[in-house]
Amino acid sequence: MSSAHQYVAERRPAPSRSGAPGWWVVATRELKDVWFGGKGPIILVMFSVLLGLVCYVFATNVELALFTPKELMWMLLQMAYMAGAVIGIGMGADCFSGERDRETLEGLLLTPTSRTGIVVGKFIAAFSVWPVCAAISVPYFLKLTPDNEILWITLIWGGVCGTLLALGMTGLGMIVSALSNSNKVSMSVSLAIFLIFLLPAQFRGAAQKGNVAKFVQWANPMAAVDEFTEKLIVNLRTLQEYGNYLVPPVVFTVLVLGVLFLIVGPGLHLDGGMPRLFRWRPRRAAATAAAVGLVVLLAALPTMASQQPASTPAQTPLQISINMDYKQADAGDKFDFETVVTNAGTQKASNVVVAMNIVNLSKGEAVDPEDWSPERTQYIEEIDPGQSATLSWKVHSVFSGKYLVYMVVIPKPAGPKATVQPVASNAIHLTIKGVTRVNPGGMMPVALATTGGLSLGAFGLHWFRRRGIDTGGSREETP
Amino acid sequence: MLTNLRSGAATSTKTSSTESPILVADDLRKSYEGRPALRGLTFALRPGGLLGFLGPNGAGKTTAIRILTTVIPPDSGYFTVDGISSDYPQKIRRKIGVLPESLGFPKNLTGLEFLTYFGRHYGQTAKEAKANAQRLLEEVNLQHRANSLIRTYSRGMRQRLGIARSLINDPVLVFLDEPTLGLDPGGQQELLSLIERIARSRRAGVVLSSHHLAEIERICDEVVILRSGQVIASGSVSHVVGQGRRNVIRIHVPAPLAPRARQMLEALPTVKSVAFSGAATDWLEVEPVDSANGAAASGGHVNGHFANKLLEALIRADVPILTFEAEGGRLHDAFLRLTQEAAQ
Repeated sequence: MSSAHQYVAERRPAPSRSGAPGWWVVATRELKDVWFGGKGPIILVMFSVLLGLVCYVFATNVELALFTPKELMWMLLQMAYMAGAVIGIGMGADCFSGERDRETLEGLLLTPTSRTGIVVGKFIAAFSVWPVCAAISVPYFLKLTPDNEILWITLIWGGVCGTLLALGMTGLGMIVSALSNSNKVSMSVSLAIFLIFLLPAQFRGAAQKGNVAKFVQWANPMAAVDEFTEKLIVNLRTLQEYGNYLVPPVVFTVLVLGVLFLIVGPGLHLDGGMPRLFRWRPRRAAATAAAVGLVVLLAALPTMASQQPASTPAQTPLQISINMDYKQADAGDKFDFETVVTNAGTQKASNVVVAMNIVNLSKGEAVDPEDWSPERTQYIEEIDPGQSATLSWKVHSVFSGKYLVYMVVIPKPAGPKATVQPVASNAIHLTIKGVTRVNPGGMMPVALATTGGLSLGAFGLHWFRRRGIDTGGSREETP
Repeated sequence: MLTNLRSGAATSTKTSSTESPILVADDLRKSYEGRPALRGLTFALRPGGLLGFLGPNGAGKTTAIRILTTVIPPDSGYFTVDGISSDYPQKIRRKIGVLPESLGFPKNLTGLEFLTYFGRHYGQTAKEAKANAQRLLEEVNLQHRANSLIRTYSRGMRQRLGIARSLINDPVLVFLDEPTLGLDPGGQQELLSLIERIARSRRAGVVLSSHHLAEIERICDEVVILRSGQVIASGSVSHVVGQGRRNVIRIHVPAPLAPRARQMLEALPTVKSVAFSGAATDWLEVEPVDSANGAAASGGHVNGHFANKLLEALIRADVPILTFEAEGGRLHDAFLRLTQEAAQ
């Protein structure tokens, strides 16, 4: 070694190695930025406001019996993990392209911390919002849950699925961000990708039933998580039956994180753009687009129902009567009535269907009877000639207005090419007055306390961060 | 190792020739989508040397600095920093300090937090990093704003903070890319003095990219001039100034007297030619006879005796001399001449 090198070596002490590893330094800095810088607390407050609003509406609906409590638990869970996925992809999408826009990435790349270390540190911070969001949503589940079994299924499997989606989406956002030249591009592309995951659910009903469509639904991690959690929570199905729906989110997350940490991370560079592995190849892209288009087309092909020739309906000997002419109630009230189905014919009537219909007499939304009654349709196995069958019905008054509730009795058609003439009852003239409830299901205190507490916490963090710091307003000083 | 270097290897006038270079760049090349940005950059810098990195906009200075600071890889070529090969960029980053051309600052951090954070990247504990940060803030005279948010700093203060950040790991080599950009003259002066003071007191090698040639000339030992990605001149400042000298004296006289002055000067035996400077009718350019004759110029430099003869002749003829200057005597002139020649 030359004298110059000896001099330099003597003069400069060996750098201390007792400090934290680079990824941890980045993670702690980024975590402080997320949680003390205001982004995290603001997201949490918005999330709690959203939860509060949704739970308030849900609680109202529980009282109106539009949904069962199990369905509401699942819908709330779905909203929570969707929000987690959106937050994850949004936080990830800002990681590198945001630093490029702010011109702070070069400073970070100049440190001896490895590129992968930088990616790991930023990933931890970007992902950190989801666990807190999940924790915040627990009181809402506690309030809505019908029983402990549903609660535990929701919390455990919701937590697993939500975490998988949040991990994957955060990673996906970071991949897009690492490859984007600007934050605008990164955010737009990430949003577009997120919407693509939601797209299959928007196919028309028939298009969701083909084999290809079923595969697309299964392979889509978000749709798979929807199906999995719904079956477990709403239908109380077992993990053995629907465990295969966990495969897509697991594969998706592992794949995304593998690409992020093994390919994109080590190749992270100043100006974005594709790594060699992902170079733009027009022919390959065109072929991929064509294949994707074909799959979508196949999935969207409507099932063509064969046209049946019209036939003359058979006259039915069934009659139906109702024991109520009118009803005046408040919104949210429940009332019962009965129908009597009589077989006036000479032959036994079997497989008789009685269905309820509700017609809105005012201009406005058409009524879905399923929202108004837990049993829209009832069945009578047999009615002997000259005999009657009595059925009880329950109606929940959902919205204010004037309605007609009537029933139809439908005998079993004679064969696949035969039809029948339904017979209608008299109608109940229903008049419902509107009522406003401030605290449906006792949800209001939870919603207000959580949001208020989080807002205070956010303010506290802001104050904690600013204590002892000169923020200086917009002051500028000369050099 | 230096035997591999092509022409243009810089040699310091203020450092011992026996010292091994702290920075060696050998035939570095870089293209962006087929468009060459750097074409065979080769130079060396000795420890403690202050190297001016010059060139017009788009010459490849920032690309060169980004390569040498391991932010982007070269397409080909090789460099070492303190003997560490460019194959080990993480090790090199431990040895160098950099103030990039456009260094953004996280505006929600204070200056102290900013420096502490970067100190921790170099393996310092939080306590060590904070103490180091406070010391550096004093060194760049920002200690009174240590706990102020960076967004409240002026541009000059941010540049000083950037210089402090580049020194956070006590580097053996510092790269400063356009550190005076956007500063007023006072700020430029202050910053360059700071850079010189730091370079001399720490004995760190400094690569300084700037358009302020007068300041480069004042504080740098060596310069490398780039144009279109190629080195067109390098070496000590005096050497490069000599390379660019045109050997002409320019004299400004009142326009009505200019023809007479021209005739008189042409009659002098040591004068090769006298011409009007471009379209101007009151500026004369006087070229001495070839230096090979030894009459008026030697070693490419107009000698003072020749200049005195010109002045004497004009004074005797009672021609007022409004301005008198030897063109090519400054780095600025050399830079313009060399870059224009390279363009042709």
